[in-house]
Amino acid sequence: MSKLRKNYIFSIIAAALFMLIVFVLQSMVFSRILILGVRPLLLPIAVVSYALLTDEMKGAVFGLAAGILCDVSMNSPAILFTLLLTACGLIVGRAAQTLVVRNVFTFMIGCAAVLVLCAGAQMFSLVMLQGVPVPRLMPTALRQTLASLIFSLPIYYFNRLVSAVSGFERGYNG
Amino acid sequence: MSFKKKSTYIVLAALVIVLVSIVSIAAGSSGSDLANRTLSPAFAPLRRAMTTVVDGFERVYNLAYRYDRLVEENEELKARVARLEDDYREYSEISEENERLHKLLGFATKHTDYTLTSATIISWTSSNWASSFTVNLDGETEVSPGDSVITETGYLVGRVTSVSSMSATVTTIIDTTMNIGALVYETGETAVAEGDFDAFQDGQMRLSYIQNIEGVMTGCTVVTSGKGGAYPKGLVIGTVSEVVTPASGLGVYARINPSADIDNLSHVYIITEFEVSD
Repeated sequence: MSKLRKNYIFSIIAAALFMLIVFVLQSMVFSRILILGVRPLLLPIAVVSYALLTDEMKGAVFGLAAGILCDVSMNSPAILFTLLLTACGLIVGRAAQTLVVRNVFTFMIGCAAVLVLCAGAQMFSLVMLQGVPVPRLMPTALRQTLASLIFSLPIYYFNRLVSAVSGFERGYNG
Repeated sequence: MSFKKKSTYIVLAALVIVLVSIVSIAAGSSGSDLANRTLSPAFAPLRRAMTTVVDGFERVYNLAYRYDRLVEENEELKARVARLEDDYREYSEISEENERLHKLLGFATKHTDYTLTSATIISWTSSNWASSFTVNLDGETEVSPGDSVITETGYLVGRVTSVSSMSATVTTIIDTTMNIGALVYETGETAVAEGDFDAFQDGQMRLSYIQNIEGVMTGCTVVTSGKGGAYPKGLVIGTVSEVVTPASGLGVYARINPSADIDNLSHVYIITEFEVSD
């Protein structure tokens, strides 16, 4: 087996482990421990972090897998997060290659945008199917976004550590 | 008498005294009482000194020669403590399970038409917008979507919403999608116990479409009506915590505090079969 292929496999294993750790934290630890009275969303942050350090293709694949896990952790048969996080991985990965500088600042902005999008998507069914007024849902959406953002930097630096060890990081400027 | 002879006598006398005292001590309190009583106080300091010295030697000996054995003994004791702790944990679990089954037995005796399956909660949802959990299944039980889920005391917990080969998802009664035909136990008033987002955030649900609100007061028990056959009749949903009258005066409703401690559940029971009441 060539060294390049070995490194490629190693980077996939590292990414899978990274995702698994974040999944366990989200679905098993923080499903019972509330932060600011809500459960934080960690997998979308992991997707932004991974996509920002790699490219659109890897970001999309990572987003797809993370989205499936996210739907599983929500006990939801819907494919809301599967679609959402795949798209986020694709867009963030593409933006990181063409539009934005890869650093902590852009990462934080990307995280905030994706978390707001996730909260909006989660609110959608309550608004459309059950007729709950949006203002009543806003406090929960805001707290969920803030509680999740608390974990963005630890996840980001953990991902950078994993990526530095496995070698999937490229083009980092910050 | 020469000095040499005198010293010989003194040594001899001393030896006699020592021998007599040794014999008297060896004979115990029954014999040679006089010698014992006379000589024991004189020898007490010597005995104490000797005991101290011997103890000291024994300690040194133990340290030098029995250290390995003590280490071994310590390890053995640690292992024994660990085993006992394990046993205690097991005992506590069995005791808890016994208590649960005891309560369930009481409940099951009253409701002989129910077929119950026990299940352990393995995970909770990560969502802030819904309330559900996953339970494990042994693969042989016939659980199906729509089955009611209760505690060992018969309090309604929720409803099975999806089933896979080894697990099932249960949506709890406080979820915003829930609608349960209900009855106020004290007055017999029919109503609908439903999930509501505001109530859900406080771990409660809402009692709507009440025909006669005057009869509904704080503390009233709300049970399932059994109408429609979705839930068995008479399962306790909760108690009324507040009657809310909107500013318009229309659409008066009550808040229900679930009787099941939903946040702290670990085991639940699924009613897979029951007799539908008219």
